[in-house]
Amino acid sequence: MENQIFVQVEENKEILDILDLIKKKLAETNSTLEEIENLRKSEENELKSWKDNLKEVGDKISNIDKNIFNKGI
Amino acid sequence: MDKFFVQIKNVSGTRVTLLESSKLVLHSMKIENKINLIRKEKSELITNLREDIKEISFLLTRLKEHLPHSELLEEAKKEKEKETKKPSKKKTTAKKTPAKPKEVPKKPKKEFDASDDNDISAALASIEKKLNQIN
Repeated sequence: MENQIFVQVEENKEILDILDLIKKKLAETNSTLEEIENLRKSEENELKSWKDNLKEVGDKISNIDKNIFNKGI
Repeated sequence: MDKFFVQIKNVSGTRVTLLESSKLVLHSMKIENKINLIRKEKSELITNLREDIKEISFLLTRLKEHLPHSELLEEAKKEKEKETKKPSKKKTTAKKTPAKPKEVPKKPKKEFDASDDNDISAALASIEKKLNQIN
């Protein structure tokens, strides 16, 4: 049989309080992680529109290049 | 020296394209600012997360302090074994109360640094060792 261990009642109360605090902290970290995840997604979206935007600039510059030097005509 | 000129065809079209390009570049700058803001916010959240994890680690240490030490368990086990081996003279006086916890001498410990990979690896190894002892 395994050894039986006892914890004082006062200690037990303290332990329960600490466990409660840990649970609260874990809930906080979960919501922080969710916020980070959402920010990561919006950063990804912004980066994509940045890329699209610069591609459009590149296309327009090519058009100007063609217009000025009649390239590709 | 003679100067030569090249004719620009479709002048208004070119101007429009140039202006649109400028617009896009400005828009691009706006996006950059937005990304910087997002990154700043993300970095603040990561700092908060780091703090929260440190607090959880501290709370776990406190929890460990309030729970019976594993060394005491070992000692209680050894004492129990001794008692069962010895011919029992004192058997009549022996009480069934749990073994009185002895003061475990505390070793001077280096403070745990969560940013140090070696400290984390050492803590992990120590937990692994304890788990193996239990299993």
